[in-house]
Amino acid sequence: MGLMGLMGLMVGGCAAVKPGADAFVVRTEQAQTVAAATFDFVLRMDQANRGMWQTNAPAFHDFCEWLRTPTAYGAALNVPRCVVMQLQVDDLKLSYQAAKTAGNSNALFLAVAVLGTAVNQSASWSNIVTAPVR
Amino acid sequence: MQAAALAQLAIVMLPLIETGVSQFIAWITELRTAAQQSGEWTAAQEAAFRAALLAKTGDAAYGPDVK
Repeated sequence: MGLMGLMGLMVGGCAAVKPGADAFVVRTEQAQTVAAATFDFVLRMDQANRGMWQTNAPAFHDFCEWLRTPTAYGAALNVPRCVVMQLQVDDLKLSYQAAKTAGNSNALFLAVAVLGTAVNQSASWSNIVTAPVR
Repeated sequence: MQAAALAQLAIVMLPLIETGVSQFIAWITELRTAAQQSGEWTAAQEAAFRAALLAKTGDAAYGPDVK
Protein backbone atom coordinates (compact mmCIF):
# COMPACT_ATOMS: atom_id res chain seq x y z
CA MET A 1 0.00 0.00 0.00
CA GLY A 2 2.87 2.34 0.88
CA LEU A 3 4.66 1.55 -2.35
CA MET A 4 1.46 2.06 -4.34
CA GLY A 5 0.99 5.41 -2.66
CA LEU A 6 4.54 6.44 -3.51
CA MET A 7 4.08 5.33 -7.10
CA GLY A 8 0.83 7.28 -7.23
CA LEU A 9 2.72 10.37 -6.14
CA MET A 10 5.40 9.82 -8.74
CA VAL A 11 3.21 9.06 -11.73
CA GLY A 12 0.79 11.89 -10.96
CA GLY A 13 2.94 14.12 -13.14
CA CYS A 14 2.42 17.77 -13.96
CA ALA A 15 -1.07 18.85 -14.93
CA ALA A 16 -1.59 20.82 -18.15
CA VAL A 17 -2.61 24.45 -17.76
CA LYS A 18 -6.35 24.92 -18.31
CA PRO A 19 -7.39 26.93 -21.38
CA GLY A 20 -7.81 30.57 -20.40
CA ALA A 21 -5.46 30.37 -17.44
CA ASP A 22 -2.23 32.37 -17.66
CA ALA A 23 0.58 29.81 -17.71
CA PHE A 24 3.03 32.31 -16.17
CA VAL A 25 0.69 32.84 -13.20
CA VAL A 26 0.04 29.11 -12.78
CA ARG A 27 3.77 28.29 -12.89
CA THR A 28 4.46 31.12 -10.44
CA GLU A 29 1.84 29.77 -8.04
CA GLN A 30 3.31 26.29 -8.37
CA ALA A 31 6.71 27.77 -7.51
CA GLN A 32 5.13 29.54 -4.51
CA THR A 33 3.61 26.28 -3.23
CA VAL A 34 6.92 24.44 -3.63
CA ALA A 35 8.83 27.31 -1.97
CA ALA A 36 6.52 27.42 1.05
CA ALA A 37 6.71 23.65 1.51
CA THR A 38 10.48 23.45 1.03
CA PHE A 39 11.32 26.32 3.42
CA ASP A 40 8.92 24.80 5.93
CA PHE A 41 10.60 21.41 5.59
CA VAL A 42 14.18 22.61 6.16
CA LEU A 43 13.29 25.08 8.91
CA ARG A 44 11.28 22.51 10.87
CA MET A 45 14.04 19.96 10.43
CA ASP A 46 16.52 22.45 11.90
CA GLN A 47 14.04 23.45 14.59
CA ALA A 48 13.73 19.81 15.74
CA ASN A 49 17.22 20.12 17.29
CA ARG A 50 18.96 23.43 16.57
CA GLY A 51 21.85 22.68 18.91
CA MET A 52 22.63 19.40 17.20
CA TRP A 53 22.61 20.97 13.71
CA GLN A 54 24.66 23.92 14.93
CA THR A 55 27.33 21.52 16.19
CA ASN A 56 27.24 18.83 13.51
CA ALA A 57 26.17 20.73 10.38
CA PRO A 58 26.90 24.42 11.08
CA ALA A 59 26.63 25.43 7.41
CA PHE A 60 23.09 23.98 7.26
CA HIS A 61 22.11 25.76 10.45
CA ASP A 62 23.64 29.01 9.15
CA PHE A 63 21.60 28.68 5.97
CA CYS A 64 18.44 28.21 8.06
CA GLU A 65 19.38 31.30 10.05
CA TRP A 66 19.80 33.20 6.79
CA LEU A 67 16.27 32.14 5.83
CA ARG A 68 15.07 33.33 9.25
CA THR A 69 16.84 36.70 9.22
CA PRO A 70 14.36 39.39 10.33
CA THR A 71 13.63 41.55 7.29
CA ALA A 72 11.44 44.57 6.71
CA TYR A 73 8.19 44.09 4.82
CA GLY A 74 5.96 47.14 4.68
CA ALA A 75 5.53 48.44 8.20
CA ALA A 76 6.68 45.16 9.77
CA LEU A 77 10.39 44.97 10.55
CA ASN A 78 10.88 41.41 11.74
CA VAL A 79 9.43 39.19 9.04
CA PRO A 80 11.62 36.16 8.24
CA ARG A 81 13.58 36.64 5.01
CA CYS A 82 12.09 33.51 3.38
CA VAL A 83 8.57 34.79 4.08
CA VAL A 84 9.42 38.23 2.67
CA MET A 85 10.77 36.64 -0.52
CA GLN A 86 7.49 34.78 -0.94
CA LEU A 87 5.37 37.84 -0.18
CA GLN A 88 7.35 39.89 -2.70
CA VAL A 89 6.71 37.28 -5.39
CA ASP A 90 3.03 37.26 -4.46
CA ASP A 91 2.82 41.06 -4.61
CA LEU A 92 4.50 41.09 -8.02
CA LYS A 93 2.20 38.32 -9.24
CA LEU A 94 -0.84 40.36 -8.18
CA SER A 95 0.58 43.42 -9.96
CA TYR A 96 1.14 41.33 -13.07
CA GLN A 97 -2.39 39.95 -12.93
CA ALA A 98 -3.76 43.49 -12.60
CA ALA A 99 -1.70 44.86 -15.51
CA LYS A 100 0.13 42.47 -17.81
CA THR A 101 2.85 44.87 -18.86
CA ALA A 102 6.41 43.97 -19.83
CA GLY A 103 7.71 45.75 -16.74
CA ASN A 104 5.47 43.74 -14.40
CA SER A 105 6.25 40.52 -16.20
CA ASN A 106 10.03 41.13 -16.03
CA ALA A 107 9.87 42.03 -12.33
CA LEU A 108 7.88 38.89 -11.55
CA PHE A 109 10.22 36.73 -13.61
CA LEU A 110 13.24 38.03 -11.68
CA ALA A 111 11.57 37.59 -8.30
CA VAL A 112 10.58 34.01 -9.14
CA ALA A 113 14.15 33.31 -10.26
CA VAL A 114 15.55 34.62 -6.95
CA LEU A 115 13.00 32.61 -4.98
CA GLY A 116 13.85 29.55 -7.07
CA THR A 117 17.53 29.90 -6.20
CA ALA A 118 16.77 29.92 -2.47
CA VAL A 119 14.42 26.95 -2.89
CA ASN A 120 17.08 25.01 -4.80
CA GLN A 121 19.60 25.69 -2.04
CA SER A 122 17.08 24.57 0.58
CA ALA A 123 16.34 21.38 -1.35
CA SER A 124 20.09 20.70 -1.69
CA TRP A 125 20.55 21.13 2.05
CA SER A 126 17.64 18.81 2.75
CA ASN A 127 19.36 16.18 0.57
CA ILE A 128 22.70 16.67 2.30
CA VAL A 129 21.48 16.55 5.88
CA THR A 130 19.13 13.60 5.36
CA ALA A 131 21.73 11.48 3.53
CA PRO A 132 22.84 8.46 5.61
CA VAL A 133 26.37 8.74 7.05
CA ARG A 134 28.65 5.93 5.83
CA MET B 1 26.68 -2.34 27.06
CA GLN B 2 26.38 -1.80 23.33
CA ALA B 3 22.70 -2.72 23.41
CA ALA B 4 22.11 -0.20 26.18
CA ALA B 5 23.88 2.49 24.15
CA LEU B 6 21.79 1.64 21.09
CA ALA B 7 18.61 1.74 23.14
CA GLN B 8 19.57 5.18 24.44
CA LEU B 9 20.32 6.33 20.90
CA ALA B 10 16.96 4.99 19.74
CA ILE B 11 15.19 6.89 22.50
CA VAL B 12 16.92 10.10 21.39
CA MET B 13 16.38 9.49 17.68
CA LEU B 14 12.76 8.31 17.67
CA PRO B 15 11.15 11.73 18.27
CA LEU B 16 13.43 13.25 15.61
CA ILE B 17 12.53 10.54 13.09
CA GLU B 18 8.85 10.95 13.91
CA THR B 19 9.10 14.73 13.33
CA GLY B 20 11.16 14.31 10.19
CA VAL B 21 8.93 11.71 8.55
CA SER B 22 5.75 13.73 9.04
CA GLN B 23 7.50 16.82 7.67
CA PHE B 24 8.80 14.84 4.71
CA ILE B 25 5.31 13.54 3.94
CA ALA B 26 3.91 17.08 4.21
CA TRP B 27 6.60 18.30 1.80
CA ILE B 28 5.87 15.54 -0.75
CA THR B 29 2.12 16.22 -0.48
CA GLU B 30 2.68 19.92 -1.24
CA LEU B 31 4.92 19.09 -4.21
CA ARG B 32 2.15 16.85 -5.53
CA THR B 33 -0.41 19.63 -5.02
CA ALA B 34 1.82 22.03 -6.97
CA ALA B 35 2.34 19.54 -9.79
CA GLN B 36 -1.40 18.99 -10.16
CA GLN B 37 -2.34 22.67 -10.27
CA SER B 38 -3.84 23.53 -13.66
CA GLY B 39 -5.59 26.85 -13.09
CA GLU B 40 -4.91 30.15 -11.37
CA TRP B 41 -5.71 30.41 -7.66
CA THR B 42 -9.12 31.69 -6.68
CA ALA B 43 -9.36 34.77 -4.46
CA ALA B 44 -10.00 32.48 -1.47
CA GLN B 45 -6.91 30.37 -2.23
CA GLU B 46 -4.83 33.52 -2.65
CA ALA B 47 -6.06 34.90 0.68
CA ALA B 48 -5.44 31.57 2.43
CA PHE B 49 -1.88 31.41 1.06
CA ARG B 50 -1.05 34.93 2.22
CA ALA B 51 -2.62 34.35 5.63
CA ALA B 52 -0.59 31.15 6.06
CA LEU B 53 2.58 33.03 5.06
CA LEU B 54 1.96 35.88 7.49
CA ALA B 55 1.15 33.42 10.29
CA LYS B 56 4.67 32.01 9.93
CA THR B 57 6.07 35.28 11.29
CA GLY B 58 5.07 34.10 14.77
CA ASP B 59 6.11 30.48 14.23
CA ALA B 60 9.01 29.37 16.46
CA ALA B 61 10.63 27.44 13.59
CA TYR B 62 10.91 30.72 11.65
CA GLY B 63 12.46 32.70 14.51
CA PRO B 64 16.23 33.22 14.65
CA ASP B 65 18.42 31.77 17.39
CA VAL B 66 18.12 33.49 20.75
CA LYS B 67 21.55 34.98 21.54
